[in-house]
Amino acid sequence: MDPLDNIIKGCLKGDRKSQEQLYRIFSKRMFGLCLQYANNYDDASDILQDGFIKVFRKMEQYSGKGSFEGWVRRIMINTALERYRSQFHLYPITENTLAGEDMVHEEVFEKLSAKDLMKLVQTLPPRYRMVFNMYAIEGYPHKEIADMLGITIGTSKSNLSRAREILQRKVKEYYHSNENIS
Amino acid sequence: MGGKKNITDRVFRDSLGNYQESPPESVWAGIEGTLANDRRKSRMAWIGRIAAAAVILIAAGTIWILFQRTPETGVVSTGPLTEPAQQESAQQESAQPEPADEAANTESPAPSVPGPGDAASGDSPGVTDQEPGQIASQETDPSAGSGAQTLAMHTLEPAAEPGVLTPDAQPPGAEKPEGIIVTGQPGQDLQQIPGGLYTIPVSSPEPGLIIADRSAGEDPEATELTETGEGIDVFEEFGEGSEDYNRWAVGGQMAPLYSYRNISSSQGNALYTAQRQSSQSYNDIENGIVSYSGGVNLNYSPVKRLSLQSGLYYSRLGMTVQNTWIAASGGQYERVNFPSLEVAMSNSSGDIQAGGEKSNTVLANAWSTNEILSDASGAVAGDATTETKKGDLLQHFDYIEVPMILRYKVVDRRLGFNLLGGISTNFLVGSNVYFEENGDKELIGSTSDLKQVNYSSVLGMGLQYSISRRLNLMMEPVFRYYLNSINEGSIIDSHPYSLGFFTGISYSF
Repeated sequence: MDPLDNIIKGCLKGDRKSQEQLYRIFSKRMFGLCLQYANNYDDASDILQDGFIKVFRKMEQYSGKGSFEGWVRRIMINTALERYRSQFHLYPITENTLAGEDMVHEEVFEKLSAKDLMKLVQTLPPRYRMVFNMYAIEGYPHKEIADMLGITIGTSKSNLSRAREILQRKVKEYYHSNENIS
Repeated sequence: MGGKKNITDRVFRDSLGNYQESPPESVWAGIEGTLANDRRKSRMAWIGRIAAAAVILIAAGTIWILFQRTPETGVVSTGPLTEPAQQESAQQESAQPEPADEAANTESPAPSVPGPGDAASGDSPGVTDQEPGQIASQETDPSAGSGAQTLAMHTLEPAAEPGVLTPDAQPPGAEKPEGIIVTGQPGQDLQQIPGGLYTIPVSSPEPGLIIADRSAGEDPEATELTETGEGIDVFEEFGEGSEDYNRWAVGGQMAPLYSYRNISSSQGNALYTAQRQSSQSYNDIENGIVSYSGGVNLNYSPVKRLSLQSGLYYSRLGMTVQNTWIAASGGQYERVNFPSLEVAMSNSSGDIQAGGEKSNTVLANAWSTNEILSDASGAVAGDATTETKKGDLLQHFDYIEVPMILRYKVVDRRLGFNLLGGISTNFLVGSNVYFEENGDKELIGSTSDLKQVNYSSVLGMGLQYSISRRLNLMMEPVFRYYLNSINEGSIIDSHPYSLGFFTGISYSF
């Protein structure tokens, strides 16, 4: 039997050791996921904690269909979205849009580390960040994003477009335009 | 453009799709603590369910036993009698009250009834001269031979007190009749007839006992006795002197109550709020609340005036904390830049912690409003996704209580007066905190560092009105004071108390 199955069985029985083992296996990947959705490190820690508590409380709902990691990932994303929905939001007043000729070259992105890219994602306003993460990184379609966030498909597409523009602008500001590359 | 957009998605997906980072150890500690709490709550819930099931089973079982019991009836000790077939006349209904409870009566000419000695002779005129308001008693007639019995008629007078029969009005010199025979139809419910008499249910105490059907104008016939439903015994008493009473009772109560707390500390300055002006006491910013309590109880009376009560009650206690600011951290600001804003706020009862969906919410006490406004403005300027609000915090402490209360009937009448006192074990089942602003209430977290089990003293008094022999209404103001502090590890001792006006109903058996 797959060792993970044994651990899951132990968790279903409420065995503390099995629960800790499960946490150790998935915590790094899930924390990486939480950092994408959170505003900062502390926020991500809270989302990770709340998410794993839900995983252990709802373990019997895992039907065995699909990967367990995918199921845990989905719970983490939902936890992050709940947190986002509960926040008081005041929307930014101005948003500058990049003109087409100012788009960042791919080589610029390649100079950035994963940690740098993570920090850029965290600078996005929450509603853009959610849509960008779910579409670009998780691969959710706009219809599902709209259902989960309670927005229209058009708003989801619009938010995605804005998120990309903001990320490109921030990369450009961070690494001084494509003139240094060419 | 589309290709360049896809480049953005692809770059971030490739870099962040499998991004991993070690979380802080405090995360697992928090998860472990919450799961341990879940296990504890689950155990407490099972204890509560088992206790409630036990109370319901005891009540149901007792009620079932009650309906299986035969009605109590008296037995007339009439001596040996002939079989019903041999007695063609003079048959009477009989019932036996306590000898001490006999009514006042006067002698009047008594027709004779055939006793065992007369049965064979056949000359049994029967009892035909009884009038309503009279009772007949079988008495030994020495002149009629050994074992012969005659029927003596007595006129009953209404008792001085309803339901109380005065034995004192017997004619001087008259011997107490050995039995009291009451006219009426067997099997009838309680009916009042002239003279203050009541018919009582009839049962056959002994084989061969002759029961007379005393319908007017009809010859009495022996009838099989049947058990009837219980009615109110003619010697029913609500007042003093009654030897009969119902030992068990089940009931329910509910009450609005006022709840607050008493605080003390060995360190006097601890009674003032932390971080702020030292002259500001917790008592200045905290207030009591009006909430509620209710539950079911089971009572047992080992003696008539004393009863022991237990049961299961739910009580909500709490208080408000005025002038509180909350701000949602939705942006990039570092909490260290806004020292007056805290994730957890201490008050006299414990740490109020924003949690769950509001775990990014920070709290502050804002009697130093200039400072808070400045920090809040800074938070807003730093990030467009932060908003602050001002209002009050509402703390709830929800308890499941298991009381052990002694109740003493100072006045034992239909309208009685009770004194009660005891102790209650209280299990904490909720500690939510709400933010109230302009009448709107929003859950923002809970109070931490509270003890799970507390003990409280219970004192009260009240009125009890008996609607019937078994059904009682109660109205009781009750004061509860928590004997131990509800918070853990704090230098402030906080003892909640409540004053509630309980109304309820109970059924005794």
